[in-house]
Amino acid sequence: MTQSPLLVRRVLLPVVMLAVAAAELSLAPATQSLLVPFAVALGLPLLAYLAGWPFRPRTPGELVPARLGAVTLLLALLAPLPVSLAREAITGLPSPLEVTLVEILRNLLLALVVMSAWPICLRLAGFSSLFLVLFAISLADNPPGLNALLAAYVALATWWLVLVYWSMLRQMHPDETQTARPPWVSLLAVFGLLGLFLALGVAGPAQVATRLGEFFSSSGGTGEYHAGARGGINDGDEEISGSNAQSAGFVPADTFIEDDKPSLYDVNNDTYGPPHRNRDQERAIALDRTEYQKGKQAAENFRPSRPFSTQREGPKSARKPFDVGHSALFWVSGPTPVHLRMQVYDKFDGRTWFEAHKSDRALLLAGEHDGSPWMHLWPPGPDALWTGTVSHEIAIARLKAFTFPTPAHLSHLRLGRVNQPDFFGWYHDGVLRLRARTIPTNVILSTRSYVPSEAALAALDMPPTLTTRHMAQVPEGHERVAQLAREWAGNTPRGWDQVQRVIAQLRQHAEHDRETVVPPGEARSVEWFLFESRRGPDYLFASAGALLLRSLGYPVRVVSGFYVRPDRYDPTRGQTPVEKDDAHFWIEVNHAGPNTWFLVEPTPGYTLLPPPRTWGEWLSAWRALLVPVGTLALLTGVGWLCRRPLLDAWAVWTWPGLSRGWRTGVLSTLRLLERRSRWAGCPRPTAQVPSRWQGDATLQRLGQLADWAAYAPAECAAPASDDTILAVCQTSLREWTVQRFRKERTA
Amino acid sequence: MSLASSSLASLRDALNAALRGKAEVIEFVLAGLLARGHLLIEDKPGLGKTTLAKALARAVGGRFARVQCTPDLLPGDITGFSVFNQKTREFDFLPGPVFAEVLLADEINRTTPRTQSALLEAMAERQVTVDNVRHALCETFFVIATQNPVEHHGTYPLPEAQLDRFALKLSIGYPAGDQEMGMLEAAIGSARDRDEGRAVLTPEGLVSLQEQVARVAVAANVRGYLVAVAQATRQHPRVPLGLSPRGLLTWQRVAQAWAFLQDRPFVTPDDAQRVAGPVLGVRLGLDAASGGVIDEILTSVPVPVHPQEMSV
Repeated sequence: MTQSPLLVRRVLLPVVMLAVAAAELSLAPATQSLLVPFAVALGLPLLAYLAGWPFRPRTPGELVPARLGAVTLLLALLAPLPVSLAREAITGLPSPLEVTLVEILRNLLLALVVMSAWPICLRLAGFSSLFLVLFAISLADNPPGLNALLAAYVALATWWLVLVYWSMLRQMHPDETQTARPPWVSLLAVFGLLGLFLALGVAGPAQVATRLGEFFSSSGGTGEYHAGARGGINDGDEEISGSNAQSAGFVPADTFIEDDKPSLYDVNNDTYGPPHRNRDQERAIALDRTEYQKGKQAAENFRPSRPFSTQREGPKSARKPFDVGHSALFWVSGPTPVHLRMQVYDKFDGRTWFEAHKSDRALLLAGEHDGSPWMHLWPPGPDALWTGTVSHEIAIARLKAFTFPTPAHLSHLRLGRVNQPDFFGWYHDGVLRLRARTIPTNVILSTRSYVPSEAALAALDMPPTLTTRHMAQVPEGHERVAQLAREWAGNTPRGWDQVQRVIAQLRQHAEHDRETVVPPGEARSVEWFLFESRRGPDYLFASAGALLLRSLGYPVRVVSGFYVRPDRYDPTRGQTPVEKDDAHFWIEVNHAGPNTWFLVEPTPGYTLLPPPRTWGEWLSAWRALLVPVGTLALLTGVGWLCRRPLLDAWAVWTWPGLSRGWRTGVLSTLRLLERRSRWAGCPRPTAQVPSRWQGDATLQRLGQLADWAAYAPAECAAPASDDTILAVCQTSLREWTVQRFRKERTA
Repeated sequence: MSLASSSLASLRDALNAALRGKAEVIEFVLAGLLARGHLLIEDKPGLGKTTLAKALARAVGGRFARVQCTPDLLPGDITGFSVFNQKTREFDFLPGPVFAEVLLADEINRTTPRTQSALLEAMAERQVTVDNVRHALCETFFVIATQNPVEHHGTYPLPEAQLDRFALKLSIGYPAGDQEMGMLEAAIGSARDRDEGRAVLTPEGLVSLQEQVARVAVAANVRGYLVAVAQATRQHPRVPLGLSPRGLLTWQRVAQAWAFLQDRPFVTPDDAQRVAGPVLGVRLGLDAASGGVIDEILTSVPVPVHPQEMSV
């Protein structure tokens, strides 16, 4: 048995590196930098490869290296145990048994790399790398980059297997194997496969499966109704009923015994602290007849005209650690971030925001004609204002409220099998509710919303409002705020750009700090926030933003609700939980009447949901990468096509001549010519000595010199002078090009 | 030109003069002679085997002996026997033909295995034991044994273990037409066979040449190549008997002799390949129908050229 072919050994190295990288990535703690596992993955296999370089099989029958194998395997298998004990002793962190086992497997792989000159060890190394990758997948908790690593491993390991097979064929039939260039079309297949693997690695298998599934309407997620749809958003009877166990997405469950579910009022109190109580005053508040129960005090959170005071006591105590998801108020499926409205405030007295007028106006809903429970609203503005739609599903878990967390610019909605439009109503303008009852728990509201176009908004004409309604009023005594607003607006023409400019200034002007509270007794919370503290919670940012824009004549309201955070996204469920501390305040600017409130986010650290990108925008976003990636791809393609001339030119340029001795010079020349002849399709017969190589006098002379170089003992003098040898080598290199070999072959 | 080269050239010329048109055969004969091996010629009668043996004996300054192997040939007829001398009242040893420098054993497969063994033992040991007395043969003892490849009736084929004693197996073949024309022309004008030729080498000179041959360098990669081919013969399905270690040694020695004949101080795999046919052909147990097996084996084993290549 001969030793392992060099090319196969070389390709094994990156395969092993990828396997070790996958294992290291899966074992690395989440807090550790990614550089560490990648450094280990590059360094260890390379060291093993170099360490095994001097070792070769000494006899043909040597299947495995006895001594080297015993020492290497012993070290590799036993090393992780003391290392793990030492690590535990030093850091105090125990190492689970699975981690130690994976390290043993990794070390076994590295030991086989050391012995990869032996064909059996080489193949075992390839086999072991697969097992290491499988272990890595089973242990990994979806660390970043793992999918890309796995895709690269699959591609490279497949190529390695092909090389192993080819080398076996070449060994069995050394002179019967022929090398032929694959057809050009195969390059397209290769690039296509590479692109597919790259996309798979970047997107992740789940994303790819979802996208492929969307080609079949019964898989759901296409936005169209299909009776058999089992998953996705906006689809089918099966997905709605949840009767099919394979249905994806939310499944309505039976109502459980009610427990202490918080309302928005409770959430705000827990998040921002209760308002300062004015103990010098008593207030009598008239309760709505339907909400009053004789003999019982009405629930605090159901009192009408619930105001929100900007002067609060702050969060009371450090929050206890909790399991995110266990205490979620509701779950959201769909793109994030999302602002979900719950309550609207319009009147402000300098300290307190008062709830806007509640309407009991029915929604202008119409059912879909095909009988599905989907209902749609009339578009709140001209079509040119919208750039697309976005879909969400909201599953209520522990929230007690009259209103649904409602996304802005609602266009379609569905609540289970409810197909009567008069079940729904507006609590406030743009805030959805079920008429005459609180929203039930464990229901799923599916929505589709319009997404405004930034360009269309910028082109809107927004004249100063002349209304005297609360949403346009600034309390007295806020002249400084008005002055500041005019300063920040500068010369920007009136309109959406001006709004954005003022809000951008506000975001830079102050710092978001939930712990900061307005001192009790402060008459003008906003002025204190803008000019004194310059830090505070989001409701102060919202208040300031509202007053700044109102002073410029924009109708603005303050909205409280929930901010669905992208960083809370649970990849295993594909949903985002919304917790108590996701309660949030923001402002909305009105244009052209009801249900045309446009979100403005005044608090730094919070963002609006970006509109879905068009292809042009995708390309623009990737433009920065297009040039380098395109250049790299072009260079790679050209390099691949010209790889042989380039490689040959490089080999000639780095040809040592006789600087390392005449033998090295002659054999280097011979190797170069052998490669050229191989490319030309007429390789030198491996079972013949170089002097038997058919060719002209130059080639034969080189062959004779090569015989001397390869077989003469060291003490033998060179068969010719250095000048003669150099001349022969140079002439051979110059005259025997690939084309010449090809020509001789055809002749 | 060195002394060795000139001696070789003279030897070569002498043999080529005796056996015309068979330069390659002469080279193999010389290789066998220099490798201290023995020769088995499997060929039809009348092709010049005796002429070659006689010319060789003359050229090396030695005696020539011929044994016609028949079924009634006794071992003593080859090794010699003791005869009672009535005058001295003692037994005198009469040496047999093996004590010549060059022995031609014609049709060795016609004599009994017992007689074959006696000859083969003499070839291997370079001594004979008669009546418990050892008699050493000459240093340059060289046997040319012949076999008829066609007639097998009444023969005692040499077993493989004994075929291994021969270094090479050759076939002379018919000469080319022009060579035969020259031969006929040379025979005109003389009633007897011309017994021309003179010694171009002494036995001591031959011994010296043989020692020089043993010192020809064989690099590690070439040795590895020989071993790889030997192992390939042992694994080949059509080879009944793979190359033995003794055969491997013989092959290396004959390759050294071949390199020496090319005036090269080292052996290349090409030398080994050139002599592979005669050397391996005698000891692998191949029959006439197994033509090409040796070439197939040689083709399957790559020769090492570059430093990191090894056949093994």
